[in-house]
Amino acid sequence: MNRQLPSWAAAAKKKRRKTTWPHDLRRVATVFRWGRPTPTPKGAPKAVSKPRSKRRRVTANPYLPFLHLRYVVQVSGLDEVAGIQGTYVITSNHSSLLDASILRSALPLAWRISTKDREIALAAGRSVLVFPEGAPSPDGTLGSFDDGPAELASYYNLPVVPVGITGTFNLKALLRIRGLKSRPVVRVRVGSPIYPRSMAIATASRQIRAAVADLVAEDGESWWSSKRRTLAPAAEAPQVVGWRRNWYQSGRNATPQPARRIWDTAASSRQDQPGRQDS
Amino acid sequence: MPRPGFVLEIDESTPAILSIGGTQLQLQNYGLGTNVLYGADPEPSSDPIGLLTAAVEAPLESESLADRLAACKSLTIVFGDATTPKFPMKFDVRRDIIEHVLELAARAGIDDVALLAATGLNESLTEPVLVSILGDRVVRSFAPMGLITSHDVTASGQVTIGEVSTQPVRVNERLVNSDLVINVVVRDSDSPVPHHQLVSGVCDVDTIDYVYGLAGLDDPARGEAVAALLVETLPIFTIEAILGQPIYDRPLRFIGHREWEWNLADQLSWVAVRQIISTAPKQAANRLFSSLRADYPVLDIIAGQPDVAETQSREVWRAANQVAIAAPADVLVASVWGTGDWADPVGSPIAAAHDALAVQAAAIGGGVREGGVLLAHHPLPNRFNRHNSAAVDFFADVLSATIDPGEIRQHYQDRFTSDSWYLELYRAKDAYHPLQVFHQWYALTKAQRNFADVIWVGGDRKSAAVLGHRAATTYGDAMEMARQHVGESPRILVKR
Repeated sequence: MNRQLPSWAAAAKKKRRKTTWPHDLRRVATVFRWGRPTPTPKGAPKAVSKPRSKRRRVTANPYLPFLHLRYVVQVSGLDEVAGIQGTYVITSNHSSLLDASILRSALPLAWRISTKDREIALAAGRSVLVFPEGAPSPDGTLGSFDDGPAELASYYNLPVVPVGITGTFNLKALLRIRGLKSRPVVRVRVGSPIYPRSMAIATASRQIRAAVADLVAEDGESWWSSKRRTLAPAAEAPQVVGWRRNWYQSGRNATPQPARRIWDTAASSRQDQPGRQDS
Repeated sequence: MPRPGFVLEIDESTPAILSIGGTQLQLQNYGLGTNVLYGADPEPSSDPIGLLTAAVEAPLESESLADRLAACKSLTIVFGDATTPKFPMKFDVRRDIIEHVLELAARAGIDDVALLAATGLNESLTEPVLVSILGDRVVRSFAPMGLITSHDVTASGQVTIGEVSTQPVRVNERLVNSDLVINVVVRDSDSPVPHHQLVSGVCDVDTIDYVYGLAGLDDPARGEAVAALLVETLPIFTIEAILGQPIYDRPLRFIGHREWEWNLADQLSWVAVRQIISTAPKQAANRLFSSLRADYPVLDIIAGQPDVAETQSREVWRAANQVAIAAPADVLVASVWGTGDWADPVGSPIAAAHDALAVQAAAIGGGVREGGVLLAHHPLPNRFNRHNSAAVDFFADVLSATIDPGEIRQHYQDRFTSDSWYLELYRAKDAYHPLQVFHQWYALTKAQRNFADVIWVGGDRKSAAVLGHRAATTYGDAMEMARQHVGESPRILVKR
């Protein structure tokens, strides 16, 4: 069994690189007349609007590197909002007076976040940042939420984008301490949008709070385990308050220490690394 | 309301029509009277999350998903690989669906959750591909614990769930041990996608060969019987997203626009892309095409009992995308591109022939008369995806000996499928199973029976001869060659 291929059926030679643009530009000039409208052929339906994807990728805020001079800001989850166009009601937990300025500098510039007059901002197509806890949390834990974001999103038929910010509790005080060897780390997590339009306001508020709680709790666990813990029946998040909150925050979030001297024992070096204390 | 698809008859006022072969973009003058088939315009998705919520709360012939999950302790989510749709989704709707299902599962307190990629004979999914389909959150939550796996058709632990005409049907063990199997599907064609995803994706190699092998292709009842057994035996809940026509990303956006509606930006993009492809090394052209993403509008999401959901989703797809063809054509002209994977967007000669015959010509169906001619634009380079070493040997050794599917089945299939090297590559190195190229060949030779001749415009003569086809330098030459079968004034249909 062996096929005899025709002798002239030779493999193609390597193609020579050629210049195509002069010929193609001439074609654009003669056939398309430099973009002037070409008559619609007989029988073809007229254009209503040119199909174009209105959904954009979400790009990071260009000002983000400037924040890194004083503290490290890690932003994650922007992918969750990719593909959803428009204006959002951004809802975050509130641990510090610095939250608003950090979020405005960390979240994408294209969202045009406003914290002032919400109605005017929304009418102008800008996103608004809302802290439904009202004042910053006195102990760094998540407080109760008011119905503001759910009512606003429902009224304007907008998605609520939950955001969890960690590492800002007592941040002002931390920044005043001189001689710290590591910069504080602030984590900003963006969650999947919630559409309160089809829900009761109370249900939507509960869902928004649960989403923000998940994002705050994601520090030490995966998305699925935090969902399992918060959404499963009779689940209750562990409460960490007072000095332990700072301890926890600095332990997990501190940047890695510089390399230890070689005569340090492995055990002491492990204990000294804050990120490993809980493992 | 988007414009529906239509068939345009070329007259004096029609500009040249874009044809694509591999990475070559040409404006082709097809001649007066030629019919050009245009698909419907894409319509932006209105509210995919709303569609999803409504679909799982009120599914077809099934309790709501939340109720099904409430009685469930072990959940498996089955999803397809990156081959559907043809161009990777810019925003993969499967991620939204799976995250929503996982939220409901978390509410129901289910601990035992696993995700299974229905890859079948295709390569197993690498981490970047998984992230592109499922998103960061799901991959980070499940991948480190080994809870996202690609189905291995050769695995020893597969379980027999029944027999179809003495052929034992074996499936992935995880599905049998699950209280609920959620089959997440994207539909981009009028084919039995959900059933195909299960039969070709999660069954064992013998069952897949039974359905899609040489004998199975002539007996569609086999596939239906296996699908019916799966639906009957396993607790399957289908969630199906029906996609519209793609909106291509920059810089190839003009491909999706009708030529007479090209603006100056489209025209200059065409000039620039052609020059880059012509001048740059082939890797650059490959990179340009492999980075192409498309935004697919979600027309509808349908959930529920697998058979009912499939019937309804096919109707929705047809209503949105199907175009009526008045009379069967003598010559079908197809643009073949994007047939390979991310690493090789041009595609091998076998992949190109499979796409032209078994996918595009089969989708046209009765639009071409029996004994017609297929003209396909593709360069047919003798280059193969490095993940498909069996296809390289198949093209070099098997097709140089015979192209008869019966002989190939008899003399070569068992030798390839029992080759330990190919199997090791499949299991450990993300390669295709050696049976995959045999099934491609059977499918394309079956589709070829309807055509008197297959001519590759701009194709490599040697590759075309190996496939048993012919090659022509230009479209005019190809029509000259086709004249002996279709006469002087054939009815030509160009699939744009």
